[in-house]
Amino acid sequence: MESSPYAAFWLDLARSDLATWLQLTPYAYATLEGIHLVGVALFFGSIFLLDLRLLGLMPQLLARPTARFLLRISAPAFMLLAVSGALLFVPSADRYAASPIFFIKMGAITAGGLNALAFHVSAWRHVDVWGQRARTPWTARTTAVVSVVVWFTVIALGRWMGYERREPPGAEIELPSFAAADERGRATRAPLPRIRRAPSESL
Amino acid sequence: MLEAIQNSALSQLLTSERWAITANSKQILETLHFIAFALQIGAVMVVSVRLLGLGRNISIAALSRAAFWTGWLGFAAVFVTGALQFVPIATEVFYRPSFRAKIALVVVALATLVLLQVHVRRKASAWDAGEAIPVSAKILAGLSLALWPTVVVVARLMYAFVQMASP
Repeated sequence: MESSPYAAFWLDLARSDLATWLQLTPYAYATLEGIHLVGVALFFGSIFLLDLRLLGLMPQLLARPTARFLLRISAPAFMLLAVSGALLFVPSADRYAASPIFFIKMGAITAGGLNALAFHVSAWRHVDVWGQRARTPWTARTTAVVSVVVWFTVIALGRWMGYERREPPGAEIELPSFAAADERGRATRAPLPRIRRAPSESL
Repeated sequence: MLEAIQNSALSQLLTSERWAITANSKQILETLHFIAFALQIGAVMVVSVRLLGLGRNISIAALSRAAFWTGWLGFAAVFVTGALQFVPIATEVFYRPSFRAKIALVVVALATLVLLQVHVRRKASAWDAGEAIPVSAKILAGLSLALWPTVVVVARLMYAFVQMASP
């Protein structure tokens, strides 16, 4: 992974004007992270409510209009996540491109998409038959459980990625991989930044 | 009081290096905090969106019952994971203006949420039967929809602010 032919490209991206702007503008990156988290809440919250319906809760709600309503929230939320996520990727592009966690997260998002597709071609086909009942087909219940597990995992991996990102200059964590990449001419994977624990001298 | 919290057995356990799970308790708690607030805020925002006019054929009574349950269970988890993160750094954090501002924002957002829930619980079946949703309910929904994302963004900014202020 470290000697990927794209390493130079990711390094260029991580040193681009956009990356520099995102790192040096006070609070720009943190604001983006906040926006990304709002997207996470909108996306995950709306999908979770749909999963509850697919598990048989809220039987008063017709499944078809409920799914359409919640999709109108989760789809724009996903766009927000993709755009803010791409921008968050930029300043640490070389690190993330070499990070197994990033690839596992992208894989998990793909799995979430395939799971949604599986629901669409199975239970959704005859939603009008079961859509007004509490008893939902096993395919709907299975995809609902998979959905919750997958999206929980994606959030956890996303939090983990945050620990790998490049801190802006002046923050407590230095930028080792910039220098390492300059000398060797290729991107190297920096060690995981050590998370500083608050001083607790009284312990 | 703060020192007692920070010196408590719980605090020592949370910072113990003996087990992997306690040595990484900060990261684990942060992750659970994220999952919990995503559930809480997301579910509550869905109700606001419904009240503001999207999905007019969706029963507010049924939707809001599930969403508020999810919201309060999510908030319980947010509170527990937040409190556990607070314990080992109680004395350091408690007097920070940024910490107090975050808690104040959360309290305001929660108060709005309670008002909204009271409103919805009383009138949901009437609204489902065709009665128009009053402007007051829409204002509450809009406030709630605006406040929770604000809490998230401001909390993240404060984290960055503290990092910049104390290198």
